[in-house]
Amino acid sequence: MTSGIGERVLRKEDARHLRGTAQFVGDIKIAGCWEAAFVRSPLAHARIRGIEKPDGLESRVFVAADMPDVLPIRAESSLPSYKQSDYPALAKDKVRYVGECIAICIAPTRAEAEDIAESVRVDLEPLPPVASIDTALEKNPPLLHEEWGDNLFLTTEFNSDLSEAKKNAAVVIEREYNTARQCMNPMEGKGVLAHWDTKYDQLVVYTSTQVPHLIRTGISQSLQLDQADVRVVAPDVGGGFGYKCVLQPEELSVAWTARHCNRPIRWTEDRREHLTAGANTREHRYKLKAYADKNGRLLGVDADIWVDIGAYSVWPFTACLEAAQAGGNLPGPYDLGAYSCRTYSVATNKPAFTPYRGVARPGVCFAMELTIDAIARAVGKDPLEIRRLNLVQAEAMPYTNITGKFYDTGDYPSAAVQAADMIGFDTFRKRKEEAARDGRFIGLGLSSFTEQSAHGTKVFAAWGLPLVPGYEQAMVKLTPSGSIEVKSGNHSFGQGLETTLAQVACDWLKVDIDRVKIVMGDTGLTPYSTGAYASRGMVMAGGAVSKASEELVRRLRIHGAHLLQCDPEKTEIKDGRVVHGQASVSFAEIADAWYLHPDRLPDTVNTAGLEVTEGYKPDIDTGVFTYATHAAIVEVDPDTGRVEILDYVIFEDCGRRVNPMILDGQSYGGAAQGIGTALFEETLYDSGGQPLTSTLADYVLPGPSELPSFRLGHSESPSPYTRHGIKGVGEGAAIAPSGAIVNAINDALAPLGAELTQIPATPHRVLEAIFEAKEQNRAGASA
Amino acid sequence: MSNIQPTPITLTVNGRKATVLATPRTQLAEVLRDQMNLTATHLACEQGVCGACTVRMNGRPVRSCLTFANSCDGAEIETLEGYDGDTLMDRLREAFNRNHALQCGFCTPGMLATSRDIVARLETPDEAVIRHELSGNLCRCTGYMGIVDSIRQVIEERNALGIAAEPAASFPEPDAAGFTPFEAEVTAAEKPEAGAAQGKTVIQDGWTVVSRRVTLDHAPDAVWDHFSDLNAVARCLPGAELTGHDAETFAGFVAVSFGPIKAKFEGEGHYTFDPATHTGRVEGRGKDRGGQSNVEGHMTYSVHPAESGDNSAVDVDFKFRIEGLLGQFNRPELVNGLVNHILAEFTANCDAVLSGGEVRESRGVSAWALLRSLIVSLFKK
Amino acid sequence: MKPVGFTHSFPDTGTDAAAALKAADTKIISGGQSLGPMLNLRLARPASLVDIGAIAAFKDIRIEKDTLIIGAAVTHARIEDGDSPVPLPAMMRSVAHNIAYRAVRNRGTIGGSLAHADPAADWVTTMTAIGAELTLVNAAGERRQMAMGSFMHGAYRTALNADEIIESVSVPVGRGDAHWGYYKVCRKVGEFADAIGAAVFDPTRRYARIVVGATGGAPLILDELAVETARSAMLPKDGRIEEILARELPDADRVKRHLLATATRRALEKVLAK
Repeated sequence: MTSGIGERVLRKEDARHLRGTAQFVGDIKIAGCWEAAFVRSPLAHARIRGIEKPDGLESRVFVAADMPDVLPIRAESSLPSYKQSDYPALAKDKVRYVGECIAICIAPTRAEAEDIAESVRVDLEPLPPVASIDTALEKNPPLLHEEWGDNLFLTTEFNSDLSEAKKNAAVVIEREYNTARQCMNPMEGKGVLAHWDTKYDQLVVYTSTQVPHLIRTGISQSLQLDQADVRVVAPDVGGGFGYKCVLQPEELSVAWTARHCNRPIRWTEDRREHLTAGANTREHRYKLKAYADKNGRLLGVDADIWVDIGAYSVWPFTACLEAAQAGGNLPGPYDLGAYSCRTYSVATNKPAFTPYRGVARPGVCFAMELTIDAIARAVGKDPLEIRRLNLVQAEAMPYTNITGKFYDTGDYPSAAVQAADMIGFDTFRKRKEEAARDGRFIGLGLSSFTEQSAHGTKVFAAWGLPLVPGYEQAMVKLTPSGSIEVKSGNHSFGQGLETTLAQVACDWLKVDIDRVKIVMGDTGLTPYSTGAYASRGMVMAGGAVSKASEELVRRLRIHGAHLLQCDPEKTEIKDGRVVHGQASVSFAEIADAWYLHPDRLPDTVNTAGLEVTEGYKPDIDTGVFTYATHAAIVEVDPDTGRVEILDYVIFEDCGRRVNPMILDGQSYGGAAQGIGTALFEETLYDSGGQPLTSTLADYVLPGPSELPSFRLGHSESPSPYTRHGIKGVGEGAAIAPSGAIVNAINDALAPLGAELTQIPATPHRVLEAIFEAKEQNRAGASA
Repeated sequence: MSNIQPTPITLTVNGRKATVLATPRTQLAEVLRDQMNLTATHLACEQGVCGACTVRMNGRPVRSCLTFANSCDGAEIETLEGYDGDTLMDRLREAFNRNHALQCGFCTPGMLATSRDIVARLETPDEAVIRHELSGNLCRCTGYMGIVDSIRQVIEERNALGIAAEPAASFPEPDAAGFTPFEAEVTAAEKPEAGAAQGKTVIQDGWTVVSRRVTLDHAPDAVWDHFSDLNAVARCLPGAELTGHDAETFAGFVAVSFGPIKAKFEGEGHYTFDPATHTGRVEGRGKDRGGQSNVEGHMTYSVHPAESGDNSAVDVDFKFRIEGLLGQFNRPELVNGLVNHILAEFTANCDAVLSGGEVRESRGVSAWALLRSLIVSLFKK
Repeated sequence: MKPVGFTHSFPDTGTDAAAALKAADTKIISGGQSLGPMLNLRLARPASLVDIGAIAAFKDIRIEKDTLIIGAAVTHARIEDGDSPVPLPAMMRSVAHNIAYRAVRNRGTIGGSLAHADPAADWVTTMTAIGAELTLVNAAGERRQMAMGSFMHGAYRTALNADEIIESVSVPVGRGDAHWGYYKVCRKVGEFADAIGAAVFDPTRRYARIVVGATGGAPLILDELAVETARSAMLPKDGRIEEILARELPDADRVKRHLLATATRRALEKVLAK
């Protein structure tokens, strides 16, 4: 039985997890390994006046001065106006956020390492903190990086002529939207274990990462080692979501310390470290004006977007990526005639902004989708109608939008209609009236988006990144025993690539999926890949495996034809065999001939053998566009502010589905995180830049009772530009929930006159919005 | 570093008895992972919230991050490496695979431990109840869809196999019927200690700002004498101790005890007293012994004649902020309650001293908020 | 995130446990489900822990005359399951079922929760509403009774003396079986409550009590409202609860007060047919 593309194949990786034998960084045993704990800054902004190591424990504590040979993380960008920040492994002169590493302490156990960390004395001179975008942009603000003269990493501008839009607008919607700072919270935090391998004279770094080859590059650059002297291994990785796609300062400190002490050293991020030093994503502010005609047709959008970047620029994705994506993606799936946008990437005393599942688009989609609903209310039409009117139409595909994005295929309005049908849009008004009679507040919200997945070389180059992804490579090999070995430098941290890449190989090679072994994550074993991020894994690694498999098939047919004494062109592949009419030869026999009995092959045999490495990128570099509409029905309890999700529907199209079961899982999980963004998750800061949410009791992650039973619908509009028509899907479902849920809340609260424009929509915010609306109504009534 | 020696504890893990050496602070999870090489059990929050470390101990799921080694002596533990021949666990494993109930797999061992408990206890597979019972386990990947489905299916399978649910999980709900009016008697005796000084506590620019007016049963001059004596003021502040001062500056520490939380802030500050206006101002900054938190605070107070009689009114304004670990929680109401309490103690102490008596014995709580105001020189040893 | 070093002892009796408290920086640990996170976070930094979880007498549940006596080390899960030789009040079983999570309930104990005195915890409010009495024992083996309504002084503050621990909790038999209501507002199932309302009526003993919990301090007993409600058997008129809370909690912000009023009203709705 083969298990090719499109089949609901159960996952190969499950068995070890279900038996508890998976190996995460924390599970690896290396003799003599010590554990590390970091001394972290308690202050958001301060000058380091001195660090004193505890008496007798000097050899267990290392500070920046001990590692002059470690270069700071420096994410260069070719974008004009970009300002460089040096992100040190350990803070040297200044600390710029609460949780920034100051010293690394080592001991046989973590508890003892923490004991040492507590006894390190750090003399800090407090500096005025920049804890918000507003403070950062004040006149004469405190400066994070004094040499800059201001607190802006980057400003960008996109201009088109809005004068017609303004002139013809019957409706102008003006809003400010805010999204909270978040922590990604993979269940496994970051983990790093490093040791020096004397046989290869090589630093070996086991790290919980999505991008092992990038980390190898980053570590060798910062530690000034040749890349051949560094091997990075990503073992089982317990979730990533973007958190693990950048080089982290702890990776450098641990690697340096292991080398310096000639001892294996491990650091395991704990939840408090993650919830404070890892609060690095999602915080945006929008001021947006939308112009529409009396029918609700969008004429133009004018926007200012601020992103709270935090203190440093991460490598390799830089401080620029988020705002560049926000500005470029705000028009989203809509056909927009005029658009102007200014973005500000603002430096604050918070952890360094890192791209999180959806990268900028959850904020963009939230802002745009609330605006679309506001237009609908303003022109007195239903939000579905307004979407149908404004979404890029199917017949316009392929379509290049106002910011130059090339939408390859799809029927965006149809997804909106299908989602609306699934959730009962037509009958909802009646349902809502009935609920209102019982004193209940229910509402329905829609949210549409398109997601540029697997964006390629040109797109990344345009963002000015220091490292531009290009050809994704994969190796596919027939082993001497006749099984298939696939090696990819990409990595799986839950997305099921071990299964889906095997499916791609099976699609070509027609073998039982149990006969395909996937090797990933080890830079010592796999070809270079920039890794798993930006919904590129399946498109890129899948494409590479496909291309290599195709070539292997070609070679197998030549070898097989020789053994069968026939014309290779007349053979086909079936059930792990090369078949010619009634005759066939098994892959095992072909492998046996090549590896163990070459005497059976002619001297003219292709010496490239049965091990194929290929590089792949899609036919276009501009990415392929997945799209979806989410629809939610919520009930708002006006006395507790609690929002209950009564129904949640996703209608999505990600091109050809490699494994429908895994795809559904990505949609469920993405939507669950999106609901966290919409309703629960928020790193709170005081104005001194102290994070106030250092435990999971303070930072609320949605549990099973807070999430709905999702319902999914699909269409398939394969991309003509990728192998097998695959599009990326990993991030998509995290993008739309805030729009759908807050639109639904606003629909529910419309009778009270309350409107939310900030997420998460916590009970406190919902109640405040209701109180304010009541006060306004009262004021209005008495006026 | 701790010098506490490890002691032997004996556990039966997955049916095998073993004795290991562990210090009392060692978490059960660490014993399993580090000493017994059973790494299925994952630590993901160590705060008792996420459930990744859930294992079965003496037949019941427990958090192995909140269970310390010594309290497990003699216990029977089952981890995901075990459950040999356990029908329900076998079926859960199959169901998890079938329903795509795991992605990254990190939460899976805890999920299965909890799921095993749920399928053993629930008579019927009601989705809302399953979700509620599962709420102590967080998964960041799956949206719980496959997990909930798996539990539901295995409960059905268990019922089909004729295996009964363990102790009935149903419990009675209140009955709104049958309530007839009656004349209640209340016992006025049950009241907590007298209320503290009242006033507003607000969060302003990251500072907690407290303004209080307290009345003391003494003449303003006597009260001012007391309030212009730094030693006398410090003595009345629970937990505070001056180690030295001159005409403008002081050094000292404040021991804080707030329920189980203990910290000792050491630092320095400066103060000014203005006899003309009966106004005092104290500013300070300090750092706790563990090195993880700082406090900074400013206090001003002024003594006036009260509205009636010979009494005095003291207006206290103080603002403080905590930086570092002790400040990184989002429950401001707890701190406010403590501030009220400390002020009440402080006032009572001042009252007692002014009456010629002694400072009362403090009960379990000492200055923690006020003290913040009494300290300085960040990170000074 | 590992605790500071501590020693951990297991006395055989409550008196021995109380006596052990005389050593510096000593903390009682029962189930450790509240103390554990604080230990791991190094917020609690004891030199030694005295474990009462294994004292047999503290796990006893019995009825003496008209009083149900529950040992301090009885777990939430045993109460939830009614795992007891004598019947437990329906209210206590229901409340126990909704404390944190099952794995926490399997270790966490009623005495530990009361002594910890977190304002947002369930037992401090529930046991105040039900009119429980605590038996406290000290290092000299002396016992005293204390009404729950007087026990908690504020956030993490109780009437316990430095060498005193909770031995057991007593409830009049039958109370909390018929006429009771409990409503908890929290953001996520199992997490800290933002507001709690609890009401218990025991007509045979002419007992009526309405309690507001998760106020940030000790539970608030609304005697006046309880007497009114018992007399009328009617829900308080609109605005009545808000008016009382405005008086009792003048410093609380409007959202908090609204949540507390809502929880209180909803608790009463469970007792009184609309």
